[in-house]
Amino acid sequence: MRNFVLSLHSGVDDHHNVFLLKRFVDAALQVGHQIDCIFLYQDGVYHANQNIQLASDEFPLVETWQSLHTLNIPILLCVTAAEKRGIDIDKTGSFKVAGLAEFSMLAAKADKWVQFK
Amino acid sequence: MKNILVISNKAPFDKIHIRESLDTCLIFAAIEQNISWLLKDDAVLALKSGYSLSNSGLKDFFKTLKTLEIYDIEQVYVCAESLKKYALSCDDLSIEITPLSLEEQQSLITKQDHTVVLS
Repeated sequence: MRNFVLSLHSGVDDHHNVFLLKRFVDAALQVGHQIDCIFLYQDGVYHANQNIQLASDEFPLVETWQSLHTLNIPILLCVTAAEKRGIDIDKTGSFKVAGLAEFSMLAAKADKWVQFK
Repeated sequence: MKNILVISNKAPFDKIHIRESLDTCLIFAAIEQNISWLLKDDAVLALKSGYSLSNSGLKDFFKTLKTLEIYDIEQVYVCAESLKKYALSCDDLSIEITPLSLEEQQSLITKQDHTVVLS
């Protein structure tokens, strides 16, 4: 068993990256690894926007995040990056407003930090 | 303590990649991790001395490079090939820095627990 921290760096228009992240999480958990957190950094913070609406034939972005939340993995977002990008940090749904410091402490304890960008 | 390497490859005015790399290095140094920073490709331009942003209204993040020393971040490296590409020598740079060959960069990466690219 190994423990991972993941960071997501791309914005809401990059569905493929979230798809890959979800696949990674599922595969890692399946073989008994642990995911300590998912950190939204740089343009990744846009995923905390609560106004994302996609057509039904698009990748189920919102549902994918919901299913990640049900796995009880802390999903943190960088407050500085969010404020710079105009994200309403009082309305981030299940995404937890945190900072680079909080993430770095988790990364310092993890076996591997994997980036999705 | 973890060995963490941050790699930057974007130019200093390409979004805020260099600032985010710098923030990441400073945070990990603050929680006493063994942090290294490697600047390569266009990112080497961030190290060039003589930028003057004082009248531009832009944040002068080049000044923040000096804080690396305050946080005891000594392992700052630059890709020797990228320096050559921009016809720069170590004398043109604003901080004291070690140029690394591609082989040396490879060996630096193999020593790390975490290697991340902030671009």
